[in-house]
Order: sequence, then structure tokens, then C-alpha cells
Amino acid sequence: MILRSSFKAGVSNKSFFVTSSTLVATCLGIASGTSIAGLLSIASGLVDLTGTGEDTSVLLIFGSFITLIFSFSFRYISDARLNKSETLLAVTCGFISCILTTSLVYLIVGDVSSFSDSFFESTAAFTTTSLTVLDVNKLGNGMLFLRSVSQLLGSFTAMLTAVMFLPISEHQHGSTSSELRVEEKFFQRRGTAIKNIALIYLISTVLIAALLSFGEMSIFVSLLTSISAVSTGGFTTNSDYLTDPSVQWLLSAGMLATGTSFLILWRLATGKVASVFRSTELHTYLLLIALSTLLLYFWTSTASQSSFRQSLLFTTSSISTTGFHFLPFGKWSVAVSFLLLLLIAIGPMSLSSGGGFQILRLRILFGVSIRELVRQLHPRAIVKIRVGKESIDDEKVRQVVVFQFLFLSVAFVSSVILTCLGMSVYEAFASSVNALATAGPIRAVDGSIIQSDTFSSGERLALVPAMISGRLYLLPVFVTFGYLLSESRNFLRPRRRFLRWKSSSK
Amino acid sequence: MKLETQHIRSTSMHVCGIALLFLSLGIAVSAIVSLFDSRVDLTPLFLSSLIVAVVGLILFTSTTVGETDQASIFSAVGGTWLVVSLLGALPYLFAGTFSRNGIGAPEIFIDSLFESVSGFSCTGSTVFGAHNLIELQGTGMLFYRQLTQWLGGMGIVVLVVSVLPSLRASGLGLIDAEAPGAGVERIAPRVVDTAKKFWVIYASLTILVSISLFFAGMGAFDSIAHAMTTASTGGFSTRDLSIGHWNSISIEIVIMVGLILGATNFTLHARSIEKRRIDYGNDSEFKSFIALVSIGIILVTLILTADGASFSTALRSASFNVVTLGSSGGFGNTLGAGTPGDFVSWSSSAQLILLFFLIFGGCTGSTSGGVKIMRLRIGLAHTYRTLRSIRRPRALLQARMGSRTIPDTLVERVAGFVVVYGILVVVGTFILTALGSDLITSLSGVFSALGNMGPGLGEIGPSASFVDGFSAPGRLVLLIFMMIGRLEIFPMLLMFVLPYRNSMKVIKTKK
Repeated sequence: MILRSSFKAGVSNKSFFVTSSTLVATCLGIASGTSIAGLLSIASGLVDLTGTGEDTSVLLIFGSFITLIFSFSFRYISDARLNKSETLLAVTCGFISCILTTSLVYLIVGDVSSFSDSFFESTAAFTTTSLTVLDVNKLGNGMLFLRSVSQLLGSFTAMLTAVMFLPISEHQHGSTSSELRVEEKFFQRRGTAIKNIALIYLISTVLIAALLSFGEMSIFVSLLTSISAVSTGGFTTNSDYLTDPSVQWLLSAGMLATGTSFLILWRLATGKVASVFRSTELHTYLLLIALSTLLLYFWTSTASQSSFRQSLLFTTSSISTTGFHFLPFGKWSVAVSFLLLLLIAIGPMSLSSGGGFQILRLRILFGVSIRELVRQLHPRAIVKIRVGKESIDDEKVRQVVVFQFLFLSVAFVSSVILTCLGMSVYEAFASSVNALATAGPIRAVDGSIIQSDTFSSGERLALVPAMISGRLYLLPVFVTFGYLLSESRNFLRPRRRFLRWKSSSK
Repeated sequence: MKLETQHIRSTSMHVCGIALLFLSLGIAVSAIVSLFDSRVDLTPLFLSSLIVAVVGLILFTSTTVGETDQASIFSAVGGTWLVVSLLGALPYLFAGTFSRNGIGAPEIFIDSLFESVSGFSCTGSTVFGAHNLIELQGTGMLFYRQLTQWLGGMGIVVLVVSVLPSLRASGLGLIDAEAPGAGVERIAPRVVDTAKKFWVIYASLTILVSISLFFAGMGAFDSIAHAMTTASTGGFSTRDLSIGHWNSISIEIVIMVGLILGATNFTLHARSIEKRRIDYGNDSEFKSFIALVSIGIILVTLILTADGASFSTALRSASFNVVTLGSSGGFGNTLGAGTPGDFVSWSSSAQLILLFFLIFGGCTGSTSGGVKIMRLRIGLAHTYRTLRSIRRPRALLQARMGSRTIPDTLVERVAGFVVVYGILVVVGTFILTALGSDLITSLSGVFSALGNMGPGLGEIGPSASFVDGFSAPGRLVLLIFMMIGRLEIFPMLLMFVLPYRNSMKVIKTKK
């Protein structure tokens, strides 16, 4: 948008070539996504100078070229106001083009040999799924930066989509509590919301990076690890650091915080500590973490402090869908693997940067089940669904039910495709859930990490739709898909086209 | 002098009493069947029949029909199923069917109860296996085992309603609580007649399948025994290799047709009989069911062919297993572990397609289990409507199924059911994995138990025993899920509401 307005300012004679609203949304998305990827490439080129500087020229040239061309293309796109479907189309197109352009960067720099590898790596980064096919030890500082900031951008985009268009927060679920009126400031205007979220991202990143850099980590590595934690991406530059107990405690706290709703963080930052503990979603989130940590501790325990620390680490890493590559500990059993997979599927609080089903939706579904139990006994009863003291609007409940349906359908279809490509049932199921919840790494039943580079190209590509739709909280992708389907159907109907042309000519 | 006997007003106990009398009759028939064999099971069967009859008579004669509100109905249906399943385990316990070296009385009790619940709920999961062969059992006990599924298929409570006119309109509530699906349609003006018609159609289907199986090459006893578990889509067999024992295409075809008819809404059968023409084509659920089964057969056949099987073998294995799981039958046509019909040895993709059928099962108002095709269709229609309404927030859109509009209340009921179902699946899998079973076995075991399917994936394939896949506590968990699944969750979960209310009343009165 900033890019768009800056270029528009210099255009005096507006001669729009793209005026159809569908095309405007598509082109706007592509131009924005590609330009952002170009800017990211330029920034990474500059960061690469702090290291060997081998990739600097390639990153700068490619980034500048791409940014210039696509920013310039804004002048040929109409600035007509887009409706909700078209905006979602623009967001989805932008997200996908950002992924595609960044995958070109990986390919041009030469860190990967095939497009499928670069596309998978780029998708994993933008969707904050902790799956990688790269050997990070061979990457320069620029590419490490690009990879980490991709996660931040992806997470930020998903968050904005959630705030602007999707009913996933307590606020947007139509709750009417006076407690939440305080947060109206947070959502007052889109601009304010974007600024507030960006501010929270920035402060969290800097804070965690500063704390991490007190240990053995360099400032650069701490910054990248911090970005991974805040964006719930889970990429690491050096896994050896993750075995340090102080780093583990710090990351646990960081992941616990990033799995918390931005509203909660906002309340804390603005000094409304008392209201924080009234959030029933937060209660559930903390209760889940506490219970899962205890279960993990007892199931795997060697009755030591390290085992408790690692239990907490695995729990927070899974529920926040961050997915740092920690090695299994203690006596690992099937139940442990299932518990972690369940936590990944549940995900963190709504309006956090994590993926998955998210706790508020889960609570609403519990409400749906209670309503059905009551209605079985009293068929004519009018039962409102409540989360804590908040009453939830029926339309929002329906959307949550649809989200559940889509979540399970995508997981099932992805699993079927993966098994067709040769995966075992468990691996396919675990991979699909991880991709859809944008978590990772994929763990075998014994807890060992299944490396993504052992997957075939087909298997990796099969995970991409799940990762993208999961990162954008499913509904925008499906609404976009439906919109495109409907538009193309209309486009292919000659009679309707003729009538439209006739009426417009009149 | 006129003696006045004071009856207890309790619908639950009254219904339960009659159900036990029917059960006692069933066990007595099995005892008579054992007379034609070596008479090994005569005493345990006769003794069980006597005990069940006495308990049933006491309950029936000392009670009358009481309140018939929703809580009472759930209490009656849930309680009846619980008591019938418990007392239904007596023949196995008295005959020592599941006693073997190295296991104690609690495990023998769990195994007997598991087989009894699996029978009445038409699940078809078994604790017989290589350690305890089915074919070593006496004819009487085998007949009783098959009979449990036949009684459970149409529903014991439906049977009770058909002979209990005093229930009047509340009988429909009882049938509704027991029958699978989202509501039962009256096919006769009176509820008693509706129940009777259902049973007549069910019995006719059993006879038809039995005759067909006999002509297809089965012996007389086996054809009757298998007809009972085909019409009820139960899946118990009198042979260790199930239908694979005969290795006959014609028998498999009869079983498949029987299972599809069993998994079809019985109201459709009634309408077709009434109109004297086949009236299935107008039902959208039936069409979807047939379409899904056909697609499943094609996909699995292609996968098996790609894996190296010949087309005819692939088609035969795919057809039988897709139909048997799609209808929640659970028969097997395997000739042993690793042979073409053993679907746990198939590639993962074929197994996942079977898992889909394991989850969804057949049509509403049929004898099959699972989530049901109708709910899948309503879910799809609701999703389509909601996605459109996000695009057009001001439009008044309705979920539709064909030309019919789906009311929001039905959508909400389906959503509620699916959510509770999902919660149960997660909880069940969680408990079973914690008890030491592997994840896929646990997950498919829970789906199989809740959907009353029979076999599952992993260690509980068509030729495996549930003893191999689950520990005794695990089997106990599964048998609870079978009962919950048979009554489509709510009656079993809400059956304790009435006793709770009554006990609270008593406490308040005392205070």
C-alpha cells in the first residue's frame, strides 16, 4: 500500500489498463507480493555484507530489478475499492507471489539445485512451518536473514488477515463484554491495528534477541533465533545452541508469550494486568500447557530438573506451533508423540502468530457440544454458546464449525495424496497436521525428526497447499478459490456475458 | 379379598424387563440349536436363559410405564442396552469361552463383555483369534453369538416398542433414540405398527439373504448365521477366516448386496414395498452412498492394480472391503495374513480410503454405523453456504441438499454430533495410546468402535483379534465406545441424567 501510494503520487495522468475488479485484485496482490519479496532480497543483500558478502550482488540486483518492475506496474492498476472477496483474493495472490519470487532467489543464489526444493523452502519459511531442505551451515548471512525474515513476514501477513477479515478473536466473535471495550482501541482503525501488531512484533523480537545474546549466542544468531520464536517459524541457524539450559528456559518463555493473544500482550503493555487474567481463553491456554507439561514429564521422566525443562520446552514449542528442532528425551512412547501432535493441531490462542485450530475455536466447539447435549434433553430450548461470560454470535459459530470441517478435510485429503506418493499412514497423517498447523518438525513415533530432505519432490509439493491454506487460516484461501471458481464460471457463460454487454452498451 | 399389587412407575425398568425376556428367548433358541450339535453349550446357555428370564420377569411384572420425557427415554434406552449387554455376557462366562492359560477372572469377564457388546452393538470386533479359534466353539454358542448381532441390528428397543402399545407416542422417541440418524420417519400411523413394519422388513431381508447364501454354496447353518449378521451389518462369522473361508465370488456378491440393503434407510425399503416399485433413486443420501462406494471401489482397485495385483483380484478385494466397511459390516474375505483381502497389508493410500468409509459408514435409518452419509452431505452443504455468505455478507443464504432446504436446527444438530464424535475420538485415542497401543491401531480402533465397524487398521485388520492390538483395559475402553457409538452417542451419555435428577429430589426431600 505504501509502495502503491508513493508511485501513484508521481502519476498525473491516470490511464488504467487493468480495471476489472477480479483482475485488479489479482494484479494488486501479485505486484505487492513480488515487490515485498524484492525489498526483502535487497535487505538480505545488505545484511550479507556482515558475512562473506558472496551473495550480496545477486541479492541486490535481483531485488532491485524485481521491486522496480513490479512497483512500476501499480500505475496500470485501477485504484477501485475492493470488496471483501477481492481483498482476500489480493492477499492470497500476494502471499503466493511472495513465496514464488523468494523461491527464485534461493534458485538464483544457488543454495538449492531444483525449483521444487526452492519452492518448498520458501513456502516453509513464509508459512512459518519448521520444515527445511537446506543445509543451514552452507548459507551466508544474507540468505539466513532472508529465510528468517520470510517467517516474520508470513506470520505478520497471516496476523493481519486474521485481524482484518476473519472472525477469530474474542473481539471479533461479537462478544459484548465491557472488558473488551478497552481493546477497541487496538482495532479502532486498520492502520492502528497494523501499527500495534508491528510494534508488538518489534518489541518482542528485540527483547528476546537481547536476552539470548547474553549467553554464548552472537547478536546475529540471537536475532534470527528471536525472529523464529516470535514468528513461530522454528528455523534455527545452529541447533547446538538449543541444548543450553538457559536458552531452553528463555525460548520456552518466549514461545509461551508468542502463543498468547496479541490482545493479552497489548493489555500487559498498557498496564491492564488485572484484565489479562479474566481472559478465559488464556486460562485454557495455560491449563493446557501445565497439564501437557506434567503428562510429558511423567511419561518420559527420569525425575530430573532437565526433564521438566524439556517437557515444558516441547509443550510450548508444539502448542505455539513454533517447532524448534529439539531431540527427543527420556522414555519416548506413542502417547507422547500423540500428545505433541494433538497440541500442534490445537495450536495457541487466537490472535497470536501461531497456526493450528486455536483455543478460542476449540472452546466454541466445546460450547457447540454442550448446546447439543442440552438440546437432546430439551429439544425446544434456545441455548446460546458462551465462552466464559461472552455470548457468541450464531454466524460466528457456524464459521468455526466450517473451519473445523475444512481443517479435517484438508488434513485428510493431504494425507491421502501423501500416502499415494508412498508415505506410511502415520507419517502422512503427522506431515499433514504439521503442515496445516504450520508447525513442524515432523516426528516419527519414537520422537526422532523425519528430515524433509528425505521427502520426494511430489511429497513436498503435496504439503504446500496445506501449508499455505493453514497459514492463512483456511477461510481466505477457500473463499478466494470459490470466488475464482464463480468468476470463471460466469466468464464462461456466453449468454450472461452477452446480456451484461448488452446492458452496459445501453 | 382383592389383592392390590403396587407397581413401580419406571419406563427404564419396564422396557429393560421386556428386552431381557426377548434376550432370554434368544438364548433359549440357541440352547435348542446346541441340541443338534454335541450339546457342549447346552447347560451354560440354558442356565443363562433362566437367569435372564427371571430378572426380566421381575423387572417387567413389578413395573409399569412411567414418565416419558427425553431424560426418561435416554435412561430407558441406555439402561436397556447396558443391562442386555451385561447379561448377554453370561453364556460366554458360564461356558468359559474366553478362559485360557495365563489370564485372570477380570480379563475373562472383560473379554466376555467385549464379545457381548460387540455383538449387540453390531460392531463385529472380536477377541477370538489364533489363541482361541471360533471354529472350536459349539454350534449353540456360535448361533447365540450371531443372534446377538441380529437382535442388536434393528434394535432391541424397537422390538420392545413393537410389543408394548402402552408406550403410545413416546415409543417413537425410544425408536428415535436407538435408531441411527437424525430422526425416524413414521411408516405407519401407529408407532407400534411402525416398529413392527421395521422388524418385518428386517426379518424378510434376513430370510432373503439366507436363501441366497444357501444357493451360493454355504451350508444351511452357516447361511442362516451369516444372513443374520449381514442384514444387521454386524460382521460376525462362524469361521475364523470369515467369508474368506469359502473363497467364493458368488457368496461375496450375496454378502455385498445384503450389506448394501442393510446399510440403506429402512424407510426406503418400506416405501418401495408399499408402492410396489423400486423407489431408491429419488433419495439423495442413497445416491451419494452408492456414488461414494463406487468411487472408493474404483480408487482402491486402481491402487491395488498399480501395486501389482491382477485386475480381477484387485476389483474383487476392493469391492468386498469397500462395501463391507462402507456398510459397517466388517466381514473379511482374506485367506490369511498378507493375502489379497487382508487390507492392512495394502498400500497406505488404499488403507486411508478405507478409513474414510470406516468413519462415515452407511445411510441414516439403516442398521449400519458410522457418522453417516447424510451428515457428510449436510456438512458439505453448510460449508458451501458459509463460504458464500463470507463473500456476500448481506445475502440470505440457506444450506441446500438437492432441491431441499436444510433447516438451521438440523445443521446445528449435525455440528453438535460431529463435535462430540470428534472429542470422543481424540479422548479415546489418547487413552489407548497411553495404555500402550500404537497410534494408527488406536485411532482406527476408536473409529471402528464408535462407528460399529469391526476391524480397523494397524494390528486389528480383518484377520486379527483385538486381543493382539489392545490390552485388557484398552478393550474395556473400546467396549464402552461401542455402546456409545451404537446409540449415536447421546442416549449413552445422557442416560444418567434421570437417576441424577431423582437422587437430587430424594436428597432435597430428606432435607
